[in-house]
Amino acid sequence: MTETKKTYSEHLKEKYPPKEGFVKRMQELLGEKGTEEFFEISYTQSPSSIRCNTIKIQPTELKDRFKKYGWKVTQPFEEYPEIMIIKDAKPGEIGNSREHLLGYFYVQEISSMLPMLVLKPKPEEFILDLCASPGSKTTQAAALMENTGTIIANEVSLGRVGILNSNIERCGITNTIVTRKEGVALCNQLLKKTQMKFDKILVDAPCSGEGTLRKSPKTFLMWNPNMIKKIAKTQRKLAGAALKLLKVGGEMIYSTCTLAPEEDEMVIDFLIRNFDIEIQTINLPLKFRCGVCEWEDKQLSKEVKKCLRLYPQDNNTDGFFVTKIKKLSDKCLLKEQ
Amino acid sequence: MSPKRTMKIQLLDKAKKKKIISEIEEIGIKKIPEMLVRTGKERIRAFSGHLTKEEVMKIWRTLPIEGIGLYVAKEIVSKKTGKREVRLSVDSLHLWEKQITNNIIILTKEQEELWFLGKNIELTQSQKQKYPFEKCFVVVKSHDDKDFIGTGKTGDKIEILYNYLPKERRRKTQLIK
Repeated sequence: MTETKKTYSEHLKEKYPPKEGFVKRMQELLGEKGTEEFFEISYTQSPSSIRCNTIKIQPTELKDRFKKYGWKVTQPFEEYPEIMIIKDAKPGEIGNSREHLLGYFYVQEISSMLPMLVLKPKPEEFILDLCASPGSKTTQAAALMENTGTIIANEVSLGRVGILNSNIERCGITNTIVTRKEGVALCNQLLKKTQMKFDKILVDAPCSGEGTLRKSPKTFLMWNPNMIKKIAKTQRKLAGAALKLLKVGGEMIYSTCTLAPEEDEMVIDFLIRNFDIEIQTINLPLKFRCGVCEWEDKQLSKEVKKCLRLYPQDNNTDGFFVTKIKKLSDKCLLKEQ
Repeated sequence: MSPKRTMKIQLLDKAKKKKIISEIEEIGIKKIPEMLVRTGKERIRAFSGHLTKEEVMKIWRTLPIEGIGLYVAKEIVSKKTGKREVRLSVDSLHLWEKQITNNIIILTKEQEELWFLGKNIELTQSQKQKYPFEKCFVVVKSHDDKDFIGTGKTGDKIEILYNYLPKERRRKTQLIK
């Protein structure tokens, strides 16, 4: 088993070596030892985690069904019994099971479940999921809301809207309206034409994906610093436009699956400088690190320390970044985008 | 005016909703708490959101909508008989499962395997006697009587159960045993 694992990792290391610039940046963030740990785990597979879809079945029953297949099931968090890790399933077996076809569970990385665990959507709330496809977080929100309230789930790409719709159907979600529009334009149009405002918003922004190397090692080859700068610009626009649609007192999550400070803390710093918001402290039963307040000679607001960085080596997950923002007033220093 | 290329939607009023219910009453469904929405010519969707009809239409006029609520049924006119029929989706069975009491066929383990591969099912002699549902839509249950796994239609002589499981819910290879 160890031998096979080693071969898999070695094969990936040879095929997808990290770029020098990427290693240097990680060293700045994590130091020598931390960087070594980060790259070591980035060439291994993540555990198979799933989320029980409580709209269709309860965790106890689902767990019993899994056991009958001979799978070993653990529920790593007492307060979230819907989260399970499955061991001993053969390749393809989980996705091919009757329970998966019928939408009783969603195969989802633990790190990707965090934004909704932090946002805590409640029944009857009005929620916007701005970059929603493939729908893991939309379906998670709908389950927490018990199919009440309303979710607007938006996705700009036509192909990805299809995947989003298909997952929403499979999970039996009835409280969602799916839209296809570029995120900033959607926010501006909603604000201008409907004056609708949301209780809670999720901006799980498109990113350079440094945290998802375990499932898509091709990211090692695609990585480049110019792309990070370009994406960061889009992320600032998306997050700013979304904040305008949030009710005063409402909460917004800004998350990415990358570890580049330009796409994470620097976006939050931009929001702090332009909006009347408060960054909130997050409590989750996982090992986290604080946000970075200084990057490439730039001093950021001390508030960004409250952002959470999740490194893959800390909890054997993917890498992730989450921030919880509370809107204090409609004050905004940005010009119309 | 709605944005270009948006999905056409029609929010069904009480009378139209009642008509849909009358088509599926046979299997036990008597109440639909959700708002029903017709999209395109024949698709019916159930929306449980808190928005009013006016608010939904306001969003429709503002944004290109690609989906609303859950696809629950297809309203079709039979080519043979010209009769209007309502065919439920697999997810609608889960949504209204507590109400479903009639026209249920339980498959054997082998039939269930074939069902998930999208094959039509040849009913056994005992099934033909137990389920005398001629030329109608039926609700299909898993071999262990635990899950609703789709809707099918029986033919004239109740020999074949025609499979309406959508392609995206089928598997190319056999399910685990």
